[in-house]
Amino acid sequence: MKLSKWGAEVFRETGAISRFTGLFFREVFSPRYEFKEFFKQCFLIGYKSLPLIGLTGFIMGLVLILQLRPTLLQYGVEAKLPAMVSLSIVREIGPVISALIFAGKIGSSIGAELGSMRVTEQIDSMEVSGTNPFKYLVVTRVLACTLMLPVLAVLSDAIGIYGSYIGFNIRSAMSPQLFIKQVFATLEFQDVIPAIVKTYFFGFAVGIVGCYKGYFSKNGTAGVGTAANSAVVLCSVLIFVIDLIIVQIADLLGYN
Amino acid sequence: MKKNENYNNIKLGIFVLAGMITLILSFYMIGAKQNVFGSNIFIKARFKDISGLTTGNNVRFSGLQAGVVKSIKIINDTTIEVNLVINKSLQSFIQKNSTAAIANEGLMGNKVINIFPGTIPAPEIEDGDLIPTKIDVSTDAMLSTLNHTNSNAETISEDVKYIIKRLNNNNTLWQVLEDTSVAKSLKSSLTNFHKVSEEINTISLDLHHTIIEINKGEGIAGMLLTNKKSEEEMKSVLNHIAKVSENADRLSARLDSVTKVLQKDIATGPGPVHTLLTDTADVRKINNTLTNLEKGTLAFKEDMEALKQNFLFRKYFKNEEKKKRKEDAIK
Amino acid sequence: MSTQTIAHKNKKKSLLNEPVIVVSDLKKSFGEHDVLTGFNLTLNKGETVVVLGKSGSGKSVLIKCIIGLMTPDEGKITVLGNDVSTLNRQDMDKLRMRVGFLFQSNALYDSMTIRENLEFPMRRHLAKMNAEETERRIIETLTDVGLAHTIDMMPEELSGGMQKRVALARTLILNPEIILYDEPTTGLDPITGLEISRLIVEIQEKYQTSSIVISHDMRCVAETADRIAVLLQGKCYTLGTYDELKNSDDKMIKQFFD
Repeated sequence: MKLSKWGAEVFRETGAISRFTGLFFREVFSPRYEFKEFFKQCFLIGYKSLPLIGLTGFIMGLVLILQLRPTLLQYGVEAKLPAMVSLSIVREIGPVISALIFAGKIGSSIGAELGSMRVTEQIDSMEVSGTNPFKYLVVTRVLACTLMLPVLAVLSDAIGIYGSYIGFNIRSAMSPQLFIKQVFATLEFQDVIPAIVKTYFFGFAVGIVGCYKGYFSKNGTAGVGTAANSAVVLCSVLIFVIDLIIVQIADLLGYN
Repeated sequence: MKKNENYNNIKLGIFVLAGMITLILSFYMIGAKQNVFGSNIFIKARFKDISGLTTGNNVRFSGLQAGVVKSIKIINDTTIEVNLVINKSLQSFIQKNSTAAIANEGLMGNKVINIFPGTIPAPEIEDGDLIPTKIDVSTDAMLSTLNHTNSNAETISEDVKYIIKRLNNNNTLWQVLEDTSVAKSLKSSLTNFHKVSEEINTISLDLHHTIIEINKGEGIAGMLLTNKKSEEEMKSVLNHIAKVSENADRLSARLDSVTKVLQKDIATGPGPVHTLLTDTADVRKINNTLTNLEKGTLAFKEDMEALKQNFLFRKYFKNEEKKKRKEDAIK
Repeated sequence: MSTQTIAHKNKKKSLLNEPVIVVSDLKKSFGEHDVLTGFNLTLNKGETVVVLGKSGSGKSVLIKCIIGLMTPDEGKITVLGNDVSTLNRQDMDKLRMRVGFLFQSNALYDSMTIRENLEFPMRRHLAKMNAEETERRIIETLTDVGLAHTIDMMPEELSGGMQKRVALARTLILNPEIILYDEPTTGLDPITGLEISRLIVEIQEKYQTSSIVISHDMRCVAETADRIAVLLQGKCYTLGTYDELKNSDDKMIKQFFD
């Protein structure tokens, strides 16, 4: 009984999010376009997240190098470290870690913000003020998430590779030119393009789930907390699911 | 408030541009490696076996990164055509007779196509050219050769082992090797040999002197002529000389006729002499003979002069001269 | 202030029989719970009607249905001659420009300054208005509610009463013909509540608006009401002036005045 209830809840939620996504696509192409709010959200979602995502990217690169070094030394292929680390950062770790941090920071903040706006009737107030709150709040945020996360991920990759360069030079020495050369000698378009493409989906998922949870938050102030929390949880799970799907599709398309 | 918003938009712009520039730069760097941008030419090479070469593998020209493998197409069961993208800046260095070969980048690395320059000058390569290929020693082949070498080495070492075993078992050899008397006799015979060779040396030196003296012909002639000899002896000598000159006269007459025949032969055509004379080796021999003949004639002339000057014959020669003058006067 | 003066004022007001809002047989239920079971109300031009009822009796639901935030299950709502249920989004937005709504929780956008809060409805509805005129209008409206100095503050810097005034200013800025007040004095101390009530009356006089006030605060009701509609069991139990109801013997009505 309890399991069936839980299953029903999962289906209901999936259906509701799908409807929400459909609504997004209906609203995103029709005027009016909330450019000002969109740019404001891009600033808040993209620019303001850079320090956090950059820091995690840097640490990931550095730690990865330090962790991999002893193993590669055993096989005598220390020279392959830059290639290996850059490949793992660009293909998987950069996008996924960025997206997870992004979900934690932005997914929760959107959930909480829209949740509290719902609770304090600000969303109704917009409706009454002749503004389509879905357009003004949801469309701008989802678009900003979708477009900003790839930028963040690219910068995070770059910072991560810089971090790995620092990490490499802690124990041994390599000139930056050689390091960069080694990195790009390994990277191919089929490494970079699917990785960038999937960050768009990650960003979209974070935006949609955060907005959905906030937009339909219930039960007053407690509901705001629930909205923020469940937004992060669902975003993180979705990121991994999307990652799995995109890797499979990329594999099928021969991008591997 | 408006100012603040502008400021934020500027920051956002910088942020987005930084991301895009990073992306574009990395695309460019990857693309430059794959020769997506920049001007290129396409050339083809056909292989029987591409041993795992894939699109995107590097192409090297004399070890220089020259391009990448663009596409691979199977033509028939024994021919695989590989399309190569070559950097245009290298076009002028790659000649039509350059050869392509598939090799490994390191022992475990990717496959790579090496283009080796041709050995003789040829026009530079053009877009769409098909360049000849050769089978480079692949790692597999190298390993199989190594394997073969190993088995050979094994057989050889077996044989060596057998030989050594047999040698060890052979008593005579060891006796010979261990017997000191053999060594002694060998040593004495060597000493004898040394002595003999020294003697030969002295003999040859003497022979040398003798030959030199013989070469100085004038010594013997002088010795002969300065000796006090009786008139009779001299007369016989003179008679002899006269005979000799008579003979020489006849000889020269005959020589003359022979020469004429020869000249005719040479002039008229493909006789045996003609071919003989065109042979440079025979010419040289004949040349030598003639030189010797000349030398002989010269020596004979000198002898005659010496006779004239000699007081014993001065009178005779003077009389001859007078007779000659008389005859002139009569004329 | 005595009730006599209010009664006097009410009598003085010339009531036009020109209905701006007609609610007829409105029904709305949430699941098993029936909130409105056939509510009828008519608001005439220039009139203030207070809907009096207990908490959870469906007062807010009523005005949210009027403004289109909720869709009634049954019944017909006509606002300024338009049937709300038949309007599409554009027409609804046009109608909403003429109808103001003051939320119980003020619903000020807390990520925006007071100026931006006031600008927000204007840039929606009056997109062609130039910056100077917008600014002039914001200051004028803020002055009307006595808070011109707060223009660059954020909502959370203001007290509850001030927030309510700003919310009222935001409602007024479009010069609406009708204003719907959702419990305007709830959560405020009595003095502030009275101030707000008086402000509502002032505004009503200045802008000549018709108003529906939802309240259970009797001071506010006494201050603002031309007529009072008592909402009981999902229906309009009774309708009358303050004095009429105050003097009523009905037990159900009397409980509000005790």
